[in-house]
Amino acid sequence: MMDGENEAIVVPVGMSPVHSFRILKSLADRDFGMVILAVSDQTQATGQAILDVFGDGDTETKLTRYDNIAKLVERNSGIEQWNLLMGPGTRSMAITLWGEILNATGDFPRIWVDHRRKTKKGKGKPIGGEDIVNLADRKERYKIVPIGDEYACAISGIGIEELRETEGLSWKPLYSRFFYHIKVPSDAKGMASSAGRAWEEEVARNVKELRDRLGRHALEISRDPVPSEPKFWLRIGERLDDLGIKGGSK
Amino acid sequence: MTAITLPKRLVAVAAPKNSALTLSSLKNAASSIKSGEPVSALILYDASVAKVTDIDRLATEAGRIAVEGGTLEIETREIPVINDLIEQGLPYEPREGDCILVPAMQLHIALLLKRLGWAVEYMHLGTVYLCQTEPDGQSVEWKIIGRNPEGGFAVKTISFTKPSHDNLEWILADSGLTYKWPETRFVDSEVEEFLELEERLVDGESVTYALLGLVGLKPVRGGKMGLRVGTAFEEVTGHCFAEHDSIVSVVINVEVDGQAVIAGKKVKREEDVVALTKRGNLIYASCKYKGRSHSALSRPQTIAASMQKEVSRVRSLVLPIKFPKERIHRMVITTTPAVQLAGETGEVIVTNLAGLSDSLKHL
Repeated sequence: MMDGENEAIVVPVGMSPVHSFRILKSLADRDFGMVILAVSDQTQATGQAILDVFGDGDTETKLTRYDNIAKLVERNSGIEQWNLLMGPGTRSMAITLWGEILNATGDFPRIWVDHRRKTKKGKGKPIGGEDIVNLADRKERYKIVPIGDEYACAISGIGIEELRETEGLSWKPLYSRFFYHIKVPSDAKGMASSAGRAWEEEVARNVKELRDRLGRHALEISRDPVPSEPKFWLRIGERLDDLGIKGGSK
Repeated sequence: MTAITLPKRLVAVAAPKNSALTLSSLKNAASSIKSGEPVSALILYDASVAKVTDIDRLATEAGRIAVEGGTLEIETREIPVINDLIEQGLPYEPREGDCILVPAMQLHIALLLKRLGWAVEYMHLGTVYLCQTEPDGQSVEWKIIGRNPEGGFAVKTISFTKPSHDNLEWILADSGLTYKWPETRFVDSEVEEFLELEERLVDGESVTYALLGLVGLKPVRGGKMGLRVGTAFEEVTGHCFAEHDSIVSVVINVEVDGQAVIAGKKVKREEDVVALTKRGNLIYASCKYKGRSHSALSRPQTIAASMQKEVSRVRSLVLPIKFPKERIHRMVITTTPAVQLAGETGEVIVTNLAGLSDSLKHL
């Protein structure tokens, strides 16, 4: 294992902050001298929540705006090797961080990636686990660890009680994702189209709110199949599919 | 930075079912290069992308993109699928003057940047580039990477805005949608006359007859009349979009495969208008010809409820089109009485045909 004492790694925080936290936890054995969370306006608060949950350990942790990274690099001239993790956050964050570190040090940062081997459909289960890989030495890999619901809730800003009391919502540590399952009303076949439409709008509203709060990539959504009679349910099913709420019809 | 080589080769990674992203990125970058030298493009794609995207068609379209002194010369190359990228690596050898068009997937970005950095450091390339089109479609950022004369390496960033290079045919190409282009048989002065009449008359069937007359259709009896009038209204709406200065292109009668099966056949869902503006915004518009048979006066609550239902539908409408959602705007084009009865419409623009022009100016 390499000695990372004079090394720093920059980990961006995107709209699915739990993932950045898992990366931090997973790199604990790598013994970086400094870990920096790079945040945007939208992820400032969740970045701070990650550091609060991560706690005080041997590793020095810092939080900075991604477009201010050059100043932080210049203030830490004792760091001999800068590392940049690419995966969380936007493309703009990744490119800006790479360019700013290059300008501040005169050298290319070492790039790390998070890599998931997935089933053929692409959205399926990770089939070979999830790794953090050092592109400069691809043999150097760290398994991305699963985390429990108490951490996930603390970072995502949702109370553990709320998670347990929200029907259909759960945290699955093996997938490191929230799952939200929507049940079709038991009396769906006898509902008027206006009632069906009202149910659909409520579902769409709830899903949007959860996606905004928890992060799109941190949330898997499924639903019961809608009935094929009355016919308006097929249209409702189509519109839910359009919103990424898939479940077919029966 | 030491002596700069201008961009010679654009390097893009094709995204699944999103030829438009690759093509507009290539066009954005190509339109900024004024070297007068030939410019080529290398399009990388993997087998999973090739399954859902016609790579030959993508290459043909890309080969039509103009550069100074000709068009882009295109080379395509297959790369490993995501699952195998780490083990098998990226078959890409950077060259002097290469310009990476920042791809959608961060794993691709990381592997390309790794190769670029290595080539600048160990193959002593003088200048390489990154070019990123921001999600607004108009802001372009170039990064020039090379050696710093004072030692080490440096990157210089240049940002500017350009007119959108999006293209509606490209955007719809991988969507599976079928559509029609609006017909151009209308006389502008006659359309203007109809718009004024429609806005002036509160209710009544004379507007309906004027609409049918404009389109060259005869009134019919019974339920078919509604269908005929609806079709006529869509055609006139399509014409008004097509003629507007803010619009680059517009299609009508946009059909998408639905889930519903009736009499053994999948029922298509139809949307009325999809239009692309010069600012790079996409408009989904629904046409509703309402309240022109005295119903606006006799049953206003029915019209109001119907409009609210349509506004709600259009607000949550998603079409199988890959396009930044921040740049999608939604409209309901309807009659003057129905506009007045529509109530709260939120971000959905509800307008009559006479007000359409003003609404489009801002999009």
